[in-house]
Amino acid sequence: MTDADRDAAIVREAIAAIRLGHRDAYAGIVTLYQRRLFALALMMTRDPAGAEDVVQDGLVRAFLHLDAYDINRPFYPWVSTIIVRLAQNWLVQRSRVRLREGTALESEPDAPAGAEDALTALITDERDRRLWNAVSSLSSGERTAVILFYRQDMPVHAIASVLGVSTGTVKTLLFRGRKKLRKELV
Amino acid sequence: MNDELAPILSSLPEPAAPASLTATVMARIEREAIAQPLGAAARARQERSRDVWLWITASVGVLLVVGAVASSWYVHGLPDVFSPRTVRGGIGAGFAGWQATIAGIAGLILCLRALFAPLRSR
Repeated sequence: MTDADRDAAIVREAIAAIRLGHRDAYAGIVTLYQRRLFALALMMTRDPAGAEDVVQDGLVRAFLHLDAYDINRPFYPWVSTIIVRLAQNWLVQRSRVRLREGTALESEPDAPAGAEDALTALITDERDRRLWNAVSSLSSGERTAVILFYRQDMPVHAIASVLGVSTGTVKTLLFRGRKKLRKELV
Repeated sequence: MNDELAPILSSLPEPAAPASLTATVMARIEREAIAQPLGAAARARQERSRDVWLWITASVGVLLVVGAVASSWYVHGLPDVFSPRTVRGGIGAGFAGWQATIAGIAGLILCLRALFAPLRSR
Protein backbone atom coordinates (compact mmCIF):
# COMPACT_ATOMS: atom_id res chain seq x y z
CA MET A 1 0.00 0.00 0.00
CA THR A 2 1.47 3.37 -1.00
CA ASP A 3 1.51 6.45 1.24
CA ALA A 4 -1.24 7.99 -0.87
CA ASP A 5 -3.43 4.88 -0.46
CA ARG A 6 -2.82 4.85 3.29
CA ASP A 7 -3.68 8.54 3.58
CA ALA A 8 -6.84 8.01 1.51
CA ALA A 9 -7.90 5.15 3.80
CA ILE A 10 -7.35 7.31 6.90
CA VAL A 11 -9.41 10.13 5.38
CA ARG A 12 -12.25 7.78 4.35
CA GLU A 13 -12.46 6.23 7.82
CA ALA A 14 -12.35 9.62 9.52
CA ILE A 15 -15.05 11.09 7.29
CA ALA A 16 -17.27 8.06 7.77
CA ALA A 17 -16.94 8.53 11.56
CA ILE A 18 -17.58 12.28 11.30
CA ARG A 19 -20.75 11.68 9.31
CA LEU A 20 -21.93 9.45 12.13
CA GLY A 21 -21.43 12.34 14.52
CA HIS A 22 -17.90 11.67 15.83
CA ARG A 23 -16.39 15.11 15.25
CA ASP A 24 -13.16 14.21 17.08
CA ALA A 25 -12.25 11.88 14.20
CA TYR A 26 -11.30 15.01 12.27
CA ALA A 27 -8.21 15.35 14.48
CA GLY A 28 -6.71 12.43 12.53
CA ILE A 29 -7.08 14.34 9.26
CA VAL A 30 -5.63 17.52 10.80
CA THR A 31 -2.60 15.63 12.14
CA LEU A 32 -2.08 13.92 8.78
CA TYR A 33 -2.02 17.09 6.68
CA GLN A 34 -1.08 19.94 9.00
CA ARG A 35 2.63 19.93 8.17
CA ARG A 36 2.09 20.05 4.42
CA LEU A 37 -0.62 22.68 4.71
CA PHE A 38 1.47 24.81 7.07
CA ALA A 39 4.45 24.64 4.68
CA LEU A 40 2.20 25.66 1.78
CA ALA A 41 0.64 28.54 3.73
CA LEU A 42 4.05 29.66 5.02
CA MET A 43 5.49 29.69 1.51
CA MET A 44 2.58 31.80 0.31
CA THR A 45 2.32 34.27 3.21
CA ARG A 46 6.02 34.29 4.21
CA ASP A 47 4.78 34.97 7.75
CA PRO A 48 4.58 32.14 10.34
CA ALA A 49 1.79 33.82 12.33
CA GLY A 50 -0.18 34.50 9.17
CA ALA A 51 0.38 30.93 7.97
CA GLU A 52 -0.91 29.57 11.27
CA ASP A 53 -4.07 31.66 11.02
CA VAL A 54 -4.62 30.62 7.42
CA VAL A 55 -4.20 26.91 8.18
CA GLN A 56 -6.47 27.09 11.22
CA ASP A 57 -9.20 28.91 9.29
CA GLY A 58 -8.77 26.58 6.32
CA LEU A 59 -9.05 23.37 8.35
CA VAL A 60 -12.11 24.64 10.21
CA ARG A 61 -13.71 25.69 6.97
CA ALA A 62 -12.91 22.31 5.41
CA PHE A 63 -14.66 20.57 8.32
CA LEU A 64 -17.76 22.75 8.02
CA HIS A 65 -17.95 21.99 4.28
CA LEU A 66 -17.12 18.28 4.41
CA ASP A 67 -20.48 17.53 2.84
CA ALA A 68 -19.16 19.20 -0.35
CA TYR A 69 -16.10 16.92 -0.47
CA ASP A 70 -16.26 13.99 -2.92
CA ILE A 71 -14.82 11.05 -1.01
CA ASN A 72 -13.71 9.41 -4.27
CA ARG A 73 -11.27 12.22 -4.97
CA PRO A 74 -7.96 12.91 -3.17
CA PHE A 75 -8.43 15.03 -0.05
CA TYR A 76 -5.24 17.07 -0.14
CA PRO A 77 -5.93 19.01 -3.40
CA TRP A 78 -9.40 19.83 -2.09
CA VAL A 79 -8.25 21.18 1.27
CA SER A 80 -5.22 22.93 -0.23
CA THR A 81 -7.56 24.84 -2.55
CA ILE A 82 -9.18 26.31 0.56
CA ILE A 83 -5.78 27.13 2.07
CA VAL A 84 -4.53 28.78 -1.13
CA ARG A 85 -7.65 30.98 -1.38
CA LEU A 86 -7.33 32.05 2.25
CA ALA A 87 -3.62 32.77 1.83
CA GLN A 88 -4.34 34.85 -1.26
CA ASN A 89 -6.96 36.82 0.69
CA TRP A 90 -4.46 37.27 3.50
CA LEU A 91 -1.89 38.69 1.05
CA VAL A 92 -4.47 41.06 -0.44
CA GLN A 93 -5.57 42.25 3.03
CA ARG A 94 -1.98 42.93 4.02
CA SER A 95 -1.40 44.89 0.80
CA ARG A 96 -4.41 47.04 1.67
CA VAL A 97 -3.11 47.63 5.19
CA ARG A 98 0.26 48.73 3.80
CA LEU A 99 -1.48 51.03 1.33
CA ARG A 100 -3.52 52.61 4.15
CA GLU A 101 -0.35 52.99 6.19
CA GLY A 102 1.18 54.96 3.34
CA THR A 103 3.96 52.57 2.39
CA ALA A 104 4.75 52.36 -1.32
CA LEU A 105 2.40 50.23 -3.36
CA GLU A 106 4.27 47.17 -4.58
CA SER A 107 3.04 44.30 -6.68
CA GLU A 108 3.46 42.07 -3.65
CA PRO A 109 4.34 43.01 -0.09
CA ASP A 110 7.65 41.93 1.39
CA ALA A 111 7.68 39.48 4.23
CA PRO A 112 6.82 41.31 7.45
CA ALA A 113 9.50 42.48 9.85
CA GLY A 114 10.33 39.76 12.35
CA ALA A 115 9.26 36.96 10.04
CA GLU A 116 12.90 36.23 9.22
CA ASP A 117 13.63 35.56 12.90
CA ALA A 118 10.54 33.37 13.20
CA LEU A 119 11.58 31.48 10.09
CA THR A 120 15.06 30.92 11.49
CA ALA A 121 13.45 29.26 14.50
CA LEU A 122 11.36 27.02 12.21
CA ILE A 123 14.15 26.06 9.77
CA THR A 124 17.35 25.70 11.72
CA ASP A 125 19.55 24.21 9.00
CA GLU A 126 21.24 27.03 7.08
CA ARG A 127 21.28 25.17 3.77
CA ASP A 128 17.55 24.45 4.10
CA ARG A 129 16.90 28.08 4.99
CA ARG A 130 18.85 29.26 1.94
CA LEU A 131 16.77 26.97 -0.28
CA TRP A 132 13.55 28.15 1.39
CA ASN A 133 14.49 31.81 0.99
CA ALA A 134 15.37 31.28 -2.67
CA VAL A 135 11.94 29.80 -3.40
CA SER A 136 10.07 32.33 -1.26
CA SER A 137 11.68 35.19 -3.23
CA LEU A 138 9.65 34.10 -6.29
CA SER A 139 6.27 35.64 -7.05
CA SER A 140 3.27 34.25 -5.16
CA GLY A 141 2.05 32.09 -8.05
CA GLU A 142 5.52 30.80 -8.89
CA ARG A 143 6.43 29.78 -5.36
CA THR A 144 3.04 28.15 -4.79
CA ALA A 145 3.39 26.14 -8.00
CA VAL A 146 6.98 25.17 -7.13
CA ILE A 147 6.18 23.89 -3.64
CA LEU A 148 3.07 22.00 -4.79
CA PHE A 149 4.82 20.40 -7.77
CA TYR A 150 8.30 19.65 -6.49
CA ARG A 151 7.84 19.20 -2.76
CA GLN A 152 4.27 17.97 -2.47
CA ASP A 153 4.20 15.92 -5.72
CA MET A 154 0.97 17.39 -6.96
CA PRO A 155 0.37 16.89 -10.70
CA VAL A 156 0.04 19.94 -12.94
CA HIS A 157 -3.70 19.53 -13.56
CA ALA A 158 -4.36 19.37 -9.79
CA ILE A 159 -2.23 22.49 -9.20
CA ALA A 160 -4.24 24.24 -11.91
CA SER A 161 -7.43 23.36 -10.08
CA VAL A 162 -6.03 24.51 -6.72
CA LEU A 163 -4.84 27.84 -8.14
CA GLY A 164 -7.90 28.32 -10.35
CA VAL A 165 -5.84 28.71 -13.53
CA SER A 166 -5.17 26.67 -16.68
CA THR A 167 -2.52 23.93 -16.89
CA GLY A 168 -0.67 26.15 -19.36
CA THR A 169 -0.44 28.88 -16.75
CA VAL A 170 0.91 26.40 -14.18
CA LYS A 171 3.59 25.26 -16.63
CA THR A 172 4.50 28.89 -17.28
CA LEU A 173 4.75 29.57 -13.53
CA LEU A 174 6.99 26.52 -13.07
CA PHE A 175 9.14 27.49 -16.06
CA ARG A 176 9.63 31.03 -14.77
CA GLY A 177 10.30 29.78 -11.25
CA ARG A 178 12.94 27.33 -12.47
CA LYS A 179 14.59 30.00 -14.59
CA LYS A 180 14.96 32.34 -11.60
CA LEU A 181 16.02 29.58 -9.21
CA ARG A 182 18.63 28.20 -11.59
CA LYS A 183 20.68 31.37 -11.14
CA GLU A 184 20.66 31.00 -7.35
CA LEU A 185 20.78 27.29 -6.77
CA VAL A 186 22.75 25.67 -9.60
CA MET B 1 13.75 18.14 -20.50
CA ASN B 2 16.41 17.51 -17.90
CA ASP B 3 15.19 19.20 -14.73
CA GLU B 4 18.36 19.57 -12.67
CA LEU B 5 16.44 21.47 -10.02
CA ALA B 6 14.02 18.62 -9.27
CA PRO B 7 16.24 16.80 -6.71
CA ILE B 8 17.09 20.12 -5.02
CA LEU B 9 13.52 21.40 -4.85
CA SER B 10 12.13 18.05 -3.72
CA SER B 11 14.21 18.54 -0.56
CA LEU B 12 12.58 21.90 0.18
CA PRO B 13 12.06 21.86 3.96
CA GLU B 14 8.58 21.51 5.43
CA PRO B 15 8.65 23.28 8.79
CA ALA B 16 6.61 21.67 11.52
CA ALA B 17 3.24 23.24 12.20
CA PRO B 18 2.74 24.76 15.67
CA ALA B 19 2.27 22.01 18.27
CA SER B 20 -1.08 23.45 19.39
CA LEU B 21 -2.57 23.56 15.88
CA THR B 22 -4.63 20.37 16.12
CA ALA B 23 -6.01 21.27 19.54
CA THR B 24 -6.85 24.81 18.41
CA VAL B 25 -8.61 23.60 15.28
CA MET B 26 -10.65 21.00 17.19
CA ALA B 27 -11.62 23.57 19.84
CA ARG B 28 -12.82 25.97 17.14
CA ILE B 29 -14.74 23.18 15.45
CA GLU B 30 -16.51 22.36 18.71
CA ARG B 31 -17.57 26.00 19.06
CA GLU B 32 -18.61 26.41 15.43
CA ALA B 33 -20.30 23.02 15.21
CA ILE B 34 -22.55 23.98 18.10
CA ALA B 35 -23.44 27.22 16.35
CA GLN B 36 -23.74 25.63 12.91
CA PRO B 37 -24.45 21.86 12.92
CA LEU B 38 -22.86 19.66 10.29
CA GLY B 39 -24.95 19.68 7.17
CA ALA B 40 -26.28 23.19 7.72
CA ALA B 41 -24.13 24.47 4.85
CA ALA B 42 -25.56 21.76 2.58
CA ARG B 43 -29.13 22.60 3.62
CA ALA B 44 -28.50 26.28 2.97
CA ARG B 45 -27.19 25.46 -0.51
CA GLN B 46 -30.21 23.28 -1.22
CA GLU B 47 -32.56 26.06 -0.16
CA ARG B 48 -30.78 28.57 -2.37
CA SER B 49 -30.97 26.14 -5.29
CA ARG B 50 -34.69 25.61 -4.63
CA ASP B 51 -35.24 29.39 -4.55
CA VAL B 52 -33.52 29.75 -7.92
CA TRP B 53 -35.83 27.09 -9.41
CA LEU B 54 -38.88 28.82 -7.95
CA TRP B 55 -37.85 32.07 -9.60
CA ILE B 56 -37.27 30.30 -12.91
CA THR B 57 -40.70 28.60 -12.65
CA ALA B 58 -42.43 31.88 -11.88
CA SER B 59 -40.60 33.66 -14.71
CA VAL B 60 -41.57 30.97 -17.22
CA GLY B 61 -45.17 31.22 -16.01
CA VAL B 62 -45.21 34.98 -16.46
CA LEU B 63 -43.66 34.69 -19.91
CA LEU B 64 -46.29 32.13 -20.96
CA VAL B 65 -49.15 34.35 -19.78
CA VAL B 66 -47.67 37.47 -21.37
CA GLY B 67 -46.99 35.55 -24.58
CA ALA B 68 -50.55 34.22 -24.69
CA VAL B 69 -52.07 37.65 -24.10
CA ALA B 70 -49.69 39.34 -26.54
CA SER B 71 -50.54 36.80 -29.22
CA SER B 72 -54.21 37.59 -28.73
CA TRP B 73 -53.60 41.30 -29.01
CA TYR B 74 -51.56 40.67 -32.13
CA VAL B 75 -54.40 38.72 -33.71
CA HIS B 76 -57.37 40.70 -32.47
CA GLY B 77 -55.86 44.05 -31.65
CA LEU B 78 -55.85 45.67 -28.22
CA PRO B 79 -59.03 44.88 -26.25
CA ASP B 80 -61.50 47.50 -25.21
CA VAL B 81 -61.46 46.98 -21.46
CA PHE B 82 -64.75 48.78 -21.06
CA SER B 83 -66.54 46.59 -23.53
CA PRO B 84 -69.17 44.30 -21.94
CA ARG B 85 -67.99 41.51 -24.27
CA THR B 86 -64.48 41.63 -22.75
CA VAL B 87 -65.87 41.61 -19.22
CA ARG B 88 -68.29 38.70 -19.89
CA GLY B 89 -65.66 36.69 -21.83
CA GLY B 90 -63.39 36.59 -18.79
CA ILE B 91 -60.12 34.77 -19.10
CA GLY B 92 -60.95 33.11 -22.40
CA ALA B 93 -61.54 36.47 -24.05
CA GLY B 94 -57.93 37.41 -23.37
CA PHE B 95 -56.43 34.63 -25.52
CA ALA B 96 -56.46 33.88 -29.21
CA GLY B 97 -57.02 30.22 -29.94
CA TRP B 98 -56.84 27.12 -27.79
CA GLN B 99 -53.05 26.99 -27.87
CA ALA B 100 -52.71 30.43 -26.38
CA THR B 101 -55.42 29.59 -23.82
CA ILE B 102 -53.56 26.46 -22.70
CA ALA B 103 -50.28 28.38 -22.59
CA GLY B 104 -51.89 31.13 -20.54
CA ILE B 105 -53.49 28.70 -18.09
CA ALA B 106 -50.22 26.73 -17.80
CA GLY B 107 -48.38 29.98 -17.12
CA LEU B 108 -50.86 30.91 -14.37
CA ILE B 109 -50.50 27.47 -12.78
CA LEU B 110 -46.70 27.76 -12.82
CA CYS B 111 -46.87 31.21 -11.23
CA LEU B 112 -49.22 29.98 -8.50
CA ARG B 113 -47.03 26.93 -7.83
CA ALA B 114 -43.97 29.11 -7.45
CA LEU B 115 -45.85 31.58 -5.28
CA PHE B 116 -47.19 28.97 -2.85
CA ALA B 117 -44.21 26.55 -2.87
CA PRO B 118 -42.61 28.05 0.26
CA LEU B 119 -45.90 27.53 2.14
CA ARG B 120 -46.17 23.92 0.98
CA SER B 121 -42.67 23.11 2.13
CA ARG B 122 -43.31 24.20 5.72
